[in-house]
Amino acid sequence: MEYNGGCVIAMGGKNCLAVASDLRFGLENFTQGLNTPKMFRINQKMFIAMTGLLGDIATLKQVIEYKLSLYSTKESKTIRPLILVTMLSLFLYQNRFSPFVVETIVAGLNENEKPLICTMDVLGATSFSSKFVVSGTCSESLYGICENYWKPGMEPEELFKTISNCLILGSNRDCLSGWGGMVHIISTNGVETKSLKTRMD
Amino acid sequence: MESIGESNITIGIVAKGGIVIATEKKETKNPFGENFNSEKTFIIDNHIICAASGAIPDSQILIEHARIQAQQYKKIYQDYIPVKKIVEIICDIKQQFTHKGGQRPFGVSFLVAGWDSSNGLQLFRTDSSGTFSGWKAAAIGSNSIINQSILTDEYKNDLDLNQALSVLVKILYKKTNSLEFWKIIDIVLLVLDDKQQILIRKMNREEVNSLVS
Repeated sequence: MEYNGGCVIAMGGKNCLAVASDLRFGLENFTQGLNTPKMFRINQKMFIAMTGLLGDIATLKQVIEYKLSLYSTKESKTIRPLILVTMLSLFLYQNRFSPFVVETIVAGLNENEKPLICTMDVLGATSFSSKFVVSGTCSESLYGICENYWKPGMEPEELFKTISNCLILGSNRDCLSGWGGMVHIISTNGVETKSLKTRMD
Repeated sequence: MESIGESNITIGIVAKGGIVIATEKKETKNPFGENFNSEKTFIIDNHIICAASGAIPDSQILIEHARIQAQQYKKIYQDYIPVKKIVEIICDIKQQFTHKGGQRPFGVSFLVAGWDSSNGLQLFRTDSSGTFSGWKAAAIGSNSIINQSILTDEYKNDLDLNQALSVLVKILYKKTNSLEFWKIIDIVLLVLDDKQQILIRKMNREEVNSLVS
């Protein structure tokens, strides 16, 4: 799990959502790449973010796209976040004895504009939260940082500042995360993407 | 094959900016209101649609299989499946059933329309035996021979979407001869915009009625 490094945060605000990740791609202590965000947009208003083994992250992303495309062509509609969480949780548990070494975060905006964020462990055990979820090598410190800075009812601008702060603070102390950051802010108007300048070590 | 010759009309035309497919449907009172999806035109992937004529239940098996194959191709190659390949996959299955003992062939013809980066906009027509061929404009279902000859006369190269739609209406209006055109005809457009993005949509009631007038 600590081979590639990385960290991801998802935070819920007032009818909006933000997902942030660092950009480091490492091989234990060696930093291989500086442009590897661990978040993937799968829908108009939904993101999946994963930390862990990068190979499994890439494969899981392709599996999710496969299942999602089949769902949308068969059901002729876009998937709801909760349905995706259920599908993914089931899929991860199907590999109970040879798991995908990833911790996933699903973040999406429902039809009623309420954010849904959820984290899953290696085997697909879900944990929903109305506030924030974190994942990655510095997750323990991120939990503490986010707990401190998150408050309810944040608008997109404030949410962006808060999540960027938390990501930078968390990844600064962790040698396996960092080297740049990226944030996606999902709101009723659409998705905005911003890059963060961080310590490059 | 004869049963397909008595089933719903389906016509497809390749135009410069996209492909139009019109299918005939039964005039029924839909308890759920106007259907946003076509009954007989199915999306196989974001860049391929498929209209069926004949025994629609037979077509469902082939469509399901085609959908799964399209996604598996995308998973392996991380690229959209070429239109011809999907048609070949469907036709291989159709052909097997003309060969094996104790099973009847699929009583359904397809018009498969799609876009890929190597060959652009394509329209293929398949029949129960599993033969397929590429067309610029094709008609299947009842009166297909007559409709095909009308298409041969009316089709010109470099038709744009609106002209193709008017050709479609010309043919179908003769058959239906009704002011409630939208109740019996479904028109689905596969539109290619300048950024090479594909948009598949069904024309709604107002658009269809405006075509007729």
